[in-house]
Amino acid sequence: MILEPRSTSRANNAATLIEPRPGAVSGIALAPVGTGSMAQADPYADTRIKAEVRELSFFYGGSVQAVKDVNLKVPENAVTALIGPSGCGKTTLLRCFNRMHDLYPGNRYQGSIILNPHDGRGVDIVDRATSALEMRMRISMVFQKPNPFPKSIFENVAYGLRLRGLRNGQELRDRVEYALRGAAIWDEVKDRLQKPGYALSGGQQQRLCIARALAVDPEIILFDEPTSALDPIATGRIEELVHELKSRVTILIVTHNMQQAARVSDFTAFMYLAELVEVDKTDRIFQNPANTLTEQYISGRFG
Amino acid sequence: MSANPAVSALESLRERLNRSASAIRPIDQTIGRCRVADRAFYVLGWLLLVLSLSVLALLMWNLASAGLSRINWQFLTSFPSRNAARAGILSPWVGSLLVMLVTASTAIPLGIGAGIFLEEYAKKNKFTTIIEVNIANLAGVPSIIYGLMALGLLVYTFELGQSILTGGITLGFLILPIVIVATREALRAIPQAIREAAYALGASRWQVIRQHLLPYSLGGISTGVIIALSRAIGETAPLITIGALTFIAYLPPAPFQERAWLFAENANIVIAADVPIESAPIDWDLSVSKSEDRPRVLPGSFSSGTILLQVRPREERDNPDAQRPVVERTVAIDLSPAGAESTLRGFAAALNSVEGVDAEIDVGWRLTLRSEDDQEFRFVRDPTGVLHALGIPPGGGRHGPLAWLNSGFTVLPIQMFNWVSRPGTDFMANAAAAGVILMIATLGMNAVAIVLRYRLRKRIKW
Repeated sequence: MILEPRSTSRANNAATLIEPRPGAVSGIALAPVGTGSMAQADPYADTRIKAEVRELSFFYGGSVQAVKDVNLKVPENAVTALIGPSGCGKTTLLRCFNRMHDLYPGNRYQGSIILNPHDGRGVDIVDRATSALEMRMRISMVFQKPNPFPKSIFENVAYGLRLRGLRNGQELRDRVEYALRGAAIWDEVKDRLQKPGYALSGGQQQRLCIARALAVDPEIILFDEPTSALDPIATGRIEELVHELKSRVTILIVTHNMQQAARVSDFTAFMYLAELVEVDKTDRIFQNPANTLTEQYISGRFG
Repeated sequence: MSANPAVSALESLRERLNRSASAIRPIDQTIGRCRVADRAFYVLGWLLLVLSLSVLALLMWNLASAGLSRINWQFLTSFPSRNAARAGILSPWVGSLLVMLVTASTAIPLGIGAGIFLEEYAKKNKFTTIIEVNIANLAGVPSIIYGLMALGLLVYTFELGQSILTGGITLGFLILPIVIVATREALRAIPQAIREAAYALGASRWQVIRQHLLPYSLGGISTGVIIALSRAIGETAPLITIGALTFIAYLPPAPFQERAWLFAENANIVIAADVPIESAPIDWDLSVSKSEDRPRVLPGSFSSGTILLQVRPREERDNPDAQRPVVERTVAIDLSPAGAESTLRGFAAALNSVEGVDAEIDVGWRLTLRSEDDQEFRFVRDPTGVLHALGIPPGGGRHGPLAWLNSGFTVLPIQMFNWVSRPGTDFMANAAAAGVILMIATLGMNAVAIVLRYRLRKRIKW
């Protein structure tokens, strides 16, 4: 295990502030951290950027700052994982993407998240003038605990489509089936579409929620620790699914499980104390992180 | 390692604990004591349960044994009467039903709306906190206070009369806090995750409420509403305060009913008149009864007759042995639409001939009673007053679809109270029978609430 601080980057001033103690029980660095590494090779070289977070800060109830000056690129048709210890702001950051914070009073965004920054029709997701409803229709979300509506399996998937004005008919049925197939649950539920969604197992419920998110053909799907309430087999299925889905949709996933991040993601961003410490291609983050904090976190010494 | 302070502290503690005998009770003794206490509480609980249930059972048995024999078709379809055996509860149960209808249609939309607003829309600030606390307080306000408020606001200020409308709205206010609280509880029981799931798909606030929250909370809300209504159906105080009648022998007009028809069919009535004469210093009680057997009046064939008008001081009503003579006037009535106005004039003239009373007729069938010092009492709407009792069609034709809202009324508990306060056991049996009916209504509503809750609950899980 390499414990020497790495100074691969001139911009990384955090590394010099941290003195890792060999054998110490706690290696948590409380020193201020830098804003991420500037790796020599641009990790986004051959990708198209779907969304770009620029100097984003977020405040709960007007005062508590949960996200601090974050810059992050989310490449299209790829999986970007957000990792970091509890309370680091990764879920908060994720929920900025579909303006979920608007539901609670006093929350405030600063900075911007530009959706489709390079195609000339870029829109700032967190701008007040941007419709939160439109953003939620274009950017779906899958939650930590499966939360199907207490409605039938069919209606669960159809709900987003109904909100878009689709009435009963062949198209609705086709789109529901397409989404359920996409979420790899069609074969398990095709004979009981009218049964309630909560009658499914936890893993099936989560795939149902993925189908619900997928049905409206979103540009991005946000996953907020989608497997934390599931057993390993169900988790494996969801991970497979996430992997398959990235050809259709851009994925941003928050996870506590570093193995999961390593398995499913193409890019990984490490957050700590509301700041983005480092973001890079996943294999680089896990094999050769630029920042000491990242290295300590992924090697399990705090978090 | 030797100088580790945590380790040495641990060792010195262990030494101290080992030095003296422990005060911890031996396990078998501990269990023995607990078992005795368990047993004692079990027996005590059973005794209390049996005691309270048997008191309830005794009450119900008492009520049933006194009243059950009186419950038959005649009892349900007859008006109250001076003759206990011929008396029934037609007007009270119809009154209770209609008042509940108004109460439900007032309290349900208002209560659910307020509950949704407070839970889903209102920001949490000082103002809403004050409102919240006060809603909880309102549920504890004595019901008679609601009656006083309704008397001042609905009867006097808005001139809604002592009507089914007033009574229903009053009880609606009374149960409003219960409905609001039930709605909020039901909404609060819905996990935030369900709301977020709907919002995350782009649903607007109203869509979330309409398509998710309301359907999912329907069980809780309707249970609350039914329980609240079953409380309202037993209320007496606020209704007496606003001037509900204690003895009434007519039914409110059905929608589009022919106007003249109603009273002519019920000859053995007729009073109008426990009408409190508002702020009149001479506390007159007005009662109207027919001097001969009823003239038969059917739609299209109006007839005429005379009535006996009795005017007597109110204190006399409560004291049958009082010597003070009743002032009586005979008034000729003509029940044809053309004769109605002259009937009313004759009526007013008869009233005017009573000392201390001055009555006149306004256009539009308004009878005004005026005391010497110019205090006024107006019979504004016919069902509360004399016109109705006389069967005079004010303007002729048919009643409007909502005319029943303006009708005077009585309810089951008031009728029970009226019967209980009379001498003689015959009326007691009537009261008990009415009580049984009331219990059946209340328990029935509660049973519906339980079934509804169970069935809706079974379909909804998170």
